[in-house]
Amino acid sequence: MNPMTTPRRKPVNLMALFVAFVMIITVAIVDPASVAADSSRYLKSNDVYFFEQCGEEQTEELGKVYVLGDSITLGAKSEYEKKLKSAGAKSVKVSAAGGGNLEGPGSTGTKQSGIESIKEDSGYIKDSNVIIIAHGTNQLKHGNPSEEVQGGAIKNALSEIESTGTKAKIYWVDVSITDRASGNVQSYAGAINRTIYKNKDAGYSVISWSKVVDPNYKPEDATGPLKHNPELIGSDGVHLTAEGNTKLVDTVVGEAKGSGGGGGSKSSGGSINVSDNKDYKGNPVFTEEHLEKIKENQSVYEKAADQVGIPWQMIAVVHARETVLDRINPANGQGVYQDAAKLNGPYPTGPVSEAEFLRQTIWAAELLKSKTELPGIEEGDEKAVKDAFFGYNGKSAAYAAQGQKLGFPADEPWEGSPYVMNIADEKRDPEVNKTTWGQVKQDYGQIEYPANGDHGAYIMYLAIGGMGSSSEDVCEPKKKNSGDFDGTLLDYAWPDPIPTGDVNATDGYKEKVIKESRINRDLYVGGTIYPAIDCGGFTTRLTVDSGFEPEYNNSGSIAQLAGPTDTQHGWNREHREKVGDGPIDPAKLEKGDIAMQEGHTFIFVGEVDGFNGDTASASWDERAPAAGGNSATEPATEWYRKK
Amino acid sequence: MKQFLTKPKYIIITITALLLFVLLIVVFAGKNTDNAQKTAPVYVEVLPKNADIYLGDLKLPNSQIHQVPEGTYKVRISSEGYVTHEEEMLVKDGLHPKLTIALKDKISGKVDFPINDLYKLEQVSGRASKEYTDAYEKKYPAKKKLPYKENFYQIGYLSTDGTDFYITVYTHSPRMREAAVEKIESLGINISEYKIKFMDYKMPLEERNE
Repeated sequence: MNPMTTPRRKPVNLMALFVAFVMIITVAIVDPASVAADSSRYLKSNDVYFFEQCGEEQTEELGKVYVLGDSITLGAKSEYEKKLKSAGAKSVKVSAAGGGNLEGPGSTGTKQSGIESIKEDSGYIKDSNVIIIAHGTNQLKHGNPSEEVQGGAIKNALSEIESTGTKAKIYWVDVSITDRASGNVQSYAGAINRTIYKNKDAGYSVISWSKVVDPNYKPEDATGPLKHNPELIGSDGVHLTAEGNTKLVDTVVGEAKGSGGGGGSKSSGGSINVSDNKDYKGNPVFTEEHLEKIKENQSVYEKAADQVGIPWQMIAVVHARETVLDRINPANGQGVYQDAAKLNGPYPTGPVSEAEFLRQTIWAAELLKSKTELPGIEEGDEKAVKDAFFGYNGKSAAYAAQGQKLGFPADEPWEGSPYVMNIADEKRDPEVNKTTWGQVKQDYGQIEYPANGDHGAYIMYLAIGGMGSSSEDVCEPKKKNSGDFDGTLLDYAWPDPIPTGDVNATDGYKEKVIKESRINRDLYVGGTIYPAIDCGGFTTRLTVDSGFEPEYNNSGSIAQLAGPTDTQHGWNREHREKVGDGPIDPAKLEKGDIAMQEGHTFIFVGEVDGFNGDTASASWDERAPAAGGNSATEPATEWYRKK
Repeated sequence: MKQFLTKPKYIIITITALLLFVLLIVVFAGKNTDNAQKTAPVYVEVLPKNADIYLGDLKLPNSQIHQVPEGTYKVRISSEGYVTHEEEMLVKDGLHPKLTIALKDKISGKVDFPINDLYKLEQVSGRASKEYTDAYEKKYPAKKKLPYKENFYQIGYLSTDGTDFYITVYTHSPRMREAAVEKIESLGINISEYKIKFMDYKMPLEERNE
């Protein structure tokens, strides 16, 4: 049997003793410690499935979308393309030039000024339904930073858009340059934001990305600096982290759809935004295999949910917790939903029939529903759902107290329960909060710190579309790539190992790195006879270009002193967290972890569909980027992780 | 003497002594032969090029692959004007250890060599790693199928010193341990050929329900 999470209460009489016994057993069988240790490290890859919301969001189409911007937009380009399409856009075109502004050309991407791009894309813009402009990081126009001059550039751009005859809704994304940026950049950032807001009557709505980065910042006035947010903004105070790219695009897409995200009955700790099988950090909650199983079982969950009156996703979560979504009675005789007291048994060991699975599922649904007295469970009311999960786990007073210590109200005790809310946010993430977010891990024990790594039941519930999607029709799971890392990896590196001596790179690497480095001499790529055929050059370009860590190896910029492995080793020591020395278990490594040896480097990529290796590497002038070629078991290796 | 040789007792003693003698020679000769054969390659590419490179008492020429008897060595690389580099190095068959070191300048404390020299060093280092990995994966093909990460357990692999291999399973749950072993088999790994180590093994509090 599994460890329990609730302190025992003294029995009052024989009946109370019996009831207490049943409760204790029930609590014990649902303890997350029984099913996994540190599931946040067990996530399979960036490729995840998600369950579409079958309601109104799906029918709200964005039509044709045009996105115009600079290096920030360029860094988030693939994220824009994927998320806008997922949100219902018929087509998406992103025109972005790194280093450019509305009237000045850039050095990467389209290399055109914003107005030149508008002219070139006028045919597309004409029929567009939504236009998103994200210029301002490099000023709106080079030179005089006055609001008049900068505002003039806005008017010129809008005039050019208007000349296409488009009736598109136009959004302008404001600028997030933080107090970490260089002084000259900071000096104009405020003026740019004031200009963007002042001119909105010219025909656009402003999307306030800056307020996402710093909620206390007032972009309309922009009198003070914007506080640096390392989660979203890189160390240069300008470019975005991978998480920043995701958050930016989520913000823009949410605004463009008019939803702004969220919704439903909220408890105070419920301002979390979890969807598409991701937790707040963007990591997948369920694996692909589990989502397939959920889909297979969904019709049964729904039948039970309809009969009992709860969201079907609640049952799926409990099933995942208890027997990993299998239709099998385990050898312990407690059935699919681990009825420890065997009240609904017997449960002979082995696979169960469809009818028996439904019978047990209805029992589990009834049990879940009985755990809350709050109204609205039928409609998936947030408080009621959380309370039911909390009740299923025993409603420990220790967790209620923990929640209050973290600032949650006393009447929302579930907010302090790892069983319900683990990895909901930074406060309740055991990897972040190791001292005040804990869990009872032993029978009748005290809270131990930190909590384990399992996602809370409510986070799992949201991950499969729990919010407001009770008993809707089955939605087909769709595959999507949630980040640039995997896409860039597949673009830059051969998916199978290649022999030493093979310097022929992929087309993507040839085009975007080798060819580009001949034009842009600032790109650090390594190699001599064969430029960019180099271990450190490849690792740098993958890490920087994918947006995983734009500042890696001094932003991969020769001007900023990017260099070979010795330089990279120093950069890692200074800016990354050392996670261990080789030999190391790859099960403990995370995507993007970088290995440093004397004179060599390579990168851990984890599981990537279509990529046959857990590492990727290259070698100076004699091996193009490809899967494998290195091993985590190699000694004399230091491993570093992005902070 | 004749009497001695004709007595069966003495004949047996003599033959036994001779056999023991031959056996001892064979055993020690074999051992010596084994020792002589147990060498492993060490890749050497050091900057500056004229540095003195010592592996224990062995002075090694630069820019070569050397066959060196297995063992743990004290490495010392020195050159006038540079910070001396010292480390311990295990030389073992299958490990492909490398001395790809660029010494730091004594005054600046930094590595300061022409980029082409540094890249040459990187080439040797990368090649040694690739050769290590190729040989390791050939010896332990299960490596290419791992790690496997699940929400409820994870399967990896680890090595004590870089030459051995065992499969690791991380989970507290007895039920998930069983599931993980099934998964290992389903990945096409013959579990009888590998050691499996349960890294987070924990006895269930009440075994009757597991």
